Amino acid sequence: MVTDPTAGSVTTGLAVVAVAAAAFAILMRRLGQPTVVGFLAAGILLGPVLGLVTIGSALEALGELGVALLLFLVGLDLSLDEVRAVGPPAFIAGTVQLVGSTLGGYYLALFLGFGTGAALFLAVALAFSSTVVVVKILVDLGDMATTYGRLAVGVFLVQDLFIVLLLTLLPLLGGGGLGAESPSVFAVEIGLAFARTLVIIAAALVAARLVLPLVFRPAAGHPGLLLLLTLAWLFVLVVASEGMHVSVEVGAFAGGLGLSMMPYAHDLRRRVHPLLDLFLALFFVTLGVRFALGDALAILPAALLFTVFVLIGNALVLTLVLAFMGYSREASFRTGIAVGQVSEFSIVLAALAITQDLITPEVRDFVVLVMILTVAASSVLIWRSKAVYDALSRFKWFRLIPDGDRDVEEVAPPPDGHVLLVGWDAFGAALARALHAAGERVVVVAAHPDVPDRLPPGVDGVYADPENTPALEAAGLRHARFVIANLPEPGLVRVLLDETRGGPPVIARAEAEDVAELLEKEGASAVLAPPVLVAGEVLRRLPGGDAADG
Amino acid sequence: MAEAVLVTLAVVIGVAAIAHYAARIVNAPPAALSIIAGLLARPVIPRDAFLEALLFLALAFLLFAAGVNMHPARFPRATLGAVLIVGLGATAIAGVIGAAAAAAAGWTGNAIPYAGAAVGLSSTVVVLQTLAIRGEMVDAHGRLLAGALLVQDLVAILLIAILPHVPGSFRDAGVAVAGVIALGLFALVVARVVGGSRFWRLVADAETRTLLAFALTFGFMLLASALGAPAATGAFLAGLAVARFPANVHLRPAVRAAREFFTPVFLVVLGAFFPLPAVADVPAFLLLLAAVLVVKPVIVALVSRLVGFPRRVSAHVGDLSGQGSEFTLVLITVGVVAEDLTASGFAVLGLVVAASFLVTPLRGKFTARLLERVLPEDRTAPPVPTEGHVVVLGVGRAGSTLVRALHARGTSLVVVDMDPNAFSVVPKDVPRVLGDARDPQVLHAAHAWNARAIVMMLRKDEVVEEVLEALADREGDRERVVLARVFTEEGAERLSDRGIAAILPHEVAVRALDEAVTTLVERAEAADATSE
Repeated sequence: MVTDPTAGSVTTGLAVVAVAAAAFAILMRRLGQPTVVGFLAAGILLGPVLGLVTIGSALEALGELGVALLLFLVGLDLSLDEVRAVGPPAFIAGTVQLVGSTLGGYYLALFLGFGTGAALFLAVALAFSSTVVVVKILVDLGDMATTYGRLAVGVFLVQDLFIVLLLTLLPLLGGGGLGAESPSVFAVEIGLAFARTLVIIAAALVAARLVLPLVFRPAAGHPGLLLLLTLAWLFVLVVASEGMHVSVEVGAFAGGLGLSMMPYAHDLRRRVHPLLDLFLALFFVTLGVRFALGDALAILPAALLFTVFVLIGNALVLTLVLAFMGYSREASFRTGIAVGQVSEFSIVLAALAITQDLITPEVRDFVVLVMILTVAASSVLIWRSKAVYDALSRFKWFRLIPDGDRDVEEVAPPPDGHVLLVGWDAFGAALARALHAAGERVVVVAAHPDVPDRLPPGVDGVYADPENTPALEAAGLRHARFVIANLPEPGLVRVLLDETRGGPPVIARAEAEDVAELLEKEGASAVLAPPVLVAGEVLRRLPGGDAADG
Repeated sequence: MAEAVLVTLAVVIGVAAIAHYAARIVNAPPAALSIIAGLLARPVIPRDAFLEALLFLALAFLLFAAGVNMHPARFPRATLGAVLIVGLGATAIAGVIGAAAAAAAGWTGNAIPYAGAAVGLSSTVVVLQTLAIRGEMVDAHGRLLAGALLVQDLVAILLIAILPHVPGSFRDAGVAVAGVIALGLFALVVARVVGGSRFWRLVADAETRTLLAFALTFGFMLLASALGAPAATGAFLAGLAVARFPANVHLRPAVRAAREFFTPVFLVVLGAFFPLPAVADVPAFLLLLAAVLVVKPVIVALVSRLVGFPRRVSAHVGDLSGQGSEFTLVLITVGVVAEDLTASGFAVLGLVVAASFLVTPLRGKFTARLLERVLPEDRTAPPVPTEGHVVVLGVGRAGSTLVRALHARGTSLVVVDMDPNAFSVVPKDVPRVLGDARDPQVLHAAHAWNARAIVMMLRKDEVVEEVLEALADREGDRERVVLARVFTEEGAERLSDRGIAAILPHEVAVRALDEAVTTLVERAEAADATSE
């Protein structure tokens, strides 16, 4: 039977963690730092410093769910076109960088006095860079579509691939540590592990191709149900992965990858994201809570040394590789700068390695400390990488780096000079037909996945929520000749007006006179208010019209 | 242990997904099926401390989302008095009858008020969903219901705060109410400060905003517990604060995610906590269900008719109120924790609500028609002009805009609508006829056959045609113009077959769009010219 709820430690713990996470996130925003650093700091404050929170199994599980959701979204975001365009150069550059950073890191760790096993783990774990941190900064800078932005994202994808490999391998290394068994037994186990991983991934992909479209069909246009089905699917894979001793993260990644082929991918990402934000914050705070503060001072010098290595070493290796591959000096350098930090996956790896008895908690704390330091330092550097580049260009030795003119192949650029019609209904359809007949190129953004397939010939469309700004931008929000906000809800129109400020003119639909006035005040270039227009039309058609009544 | 928690979550989400999926296929309310699915899935859902935490977490977010929905703009200002009487009065009467039914079934003591609430309160979620499916959101009864249910939801929140303390001691109840009020005032302050644009600029990205929404919910829950009120009321007040944020559209994704994820979880877990119903509980279940399904609709319809709504509107309002509320589910959860309700009482009330959810979309309009016969006759207002005037049928948005323009020009006119609310946007000295435009008596009262023009601004194209039929039944005394707004091309064609020129909003809009685009182009060219 149900007992007293409010005193329950799970709810209280979660509440305290969520409040602290939000407070620190806002603080970090204010300081121009990524929120991840704030979450870790919040955890350190709540745990080792104040002793307010202890981590129970529920909090731990919800944090794990956050990591699963993160991998799920990484899979969901993979676009085959982008992989084809950036894949090959990114694969070469990314692999060379990983190998270089691992080698350098290994010897540095040995030099700092870590044992062979710990040094190997640190070298591998610290070679990865943070997709979440960097992509967030690139989006904020508006640099996602630049050569360096796309190369950086490509390198991160390559790193993600290696992470999936590592996540598969790590559980095998458990027990007595490296090489506890004979090489042949170990080889068989590795083979089996990869086979199980492949089974999960293959099952996820085949299901996504053959079964899920049928299952998801009736849910189209019912976002709540879509979200539930997606989460259920994610959990099926998570539980199946656990049952088959495959890492949960791999299962989640495969689940996302499968769904990335569905027309709902864009929308799902948006719906899952708030849950990810909450649970992933929980994960990082949890890490902070467990951080052994007392030892931090002792390891600080070593951590600082490693930080400098990650900041400069990672950047240097990648810059040189890309420059020698023929990319411009600036693009190579700024891509290099972008990888100068430690990934949140490094911490995930550390957490996993601890459960396998591969490393001690001290090593994990070292990883966490280096991550905090590198993320803080490198976000400042990435934010100002153009200025740093200009400053360095004054030195002769810097100009020794080759400066090529190779570029990344363009992937279907967003449309240009079109009319973007946001919101689809009978009214929108009439507008689209008329505009098309007048020779305009019309791109429709509809909130129902079936609409893009049913558009009149000559009219293009995408499926996305009107609040989904990235999707609108992919549909050419900024490059449209004008935008029609055919949305019944004034709130949504206001969001759209906000997003297009300084961009193309917006013609908004309004359902009442006062709303029309409000929207014009908020920046709509013109307002179509059907009730007002219809009333005006009636007035024109009434016998005698104005003269008879005047 | 962490794995066990993940498995529990997986099972709950899986059951919820199946229930919602089934609901979608057979077109039943997902809420009811989720509860029943939870009840059926009892053997596979481990009822441990984590599940309890999940129940209260989900409940809190459900109330948070409800609070966000409670935007002040949703209250119909024009008819607030009538809405309050229907929302409060009818609820109170039905509640007393529910309490009496429970007493008749042998319930005693603290459990009785919960039964009253279970009968008295109706479901915003189910009603709005049913209205949306039937396309009746903007109809008179739809708007009246939306307002009345909003009032009820506020009552429900107060009940959740108060009931667990009643008959304990008046002091405790007073403290709880004072706590809720203090927290409510604090919510207003938070809405001002956090919702203020200066603060808002600090949280410009989606992640921080999401976290802020969740943190507000949790923070208010902690405060509510500290003040001795249920944590869930805190979550509701946090939602209320967010509803008042000027920029709350930006929090929508977070609120939606919270609602879409936690609502199904709540319902499934709730169902899993129900003990299997026993034979001894059947009489109470049937009595209360009858009170909800049969007695309450009659009471609500009568009250609405007495307040002055027409028969048809009142009948629909009554008919659609025939179910329990999602807030009752929250209330009984709080009640069982306070030990006011026994496990079986908890299950009986929960199942009454679930069963009534299932029935609402099924009852169709037959019962509404039955109700309509029982209600007293409508009164019609006397029309003023008898000849040479303009008759406007339907004063919705377009109709009222037209009426205001005509009135400003001094045109002699009469307006007709079946919704007395609609007249609130019409100038006071414009003569009006309350009733269905398809009714020849109503047309006669508006002297439609002597009018110089008839303008139809009706909500459905079929209704326009039915009015035309009614008009054709009688010869007119003079030449008159008939103008009709229709929404579909087919409707426009059928009208032109009758020789009547229809006005299609989108056609008018396309012309306006054309003009707007021309203006934009000219403006851009002018800007280019000046810059050169």
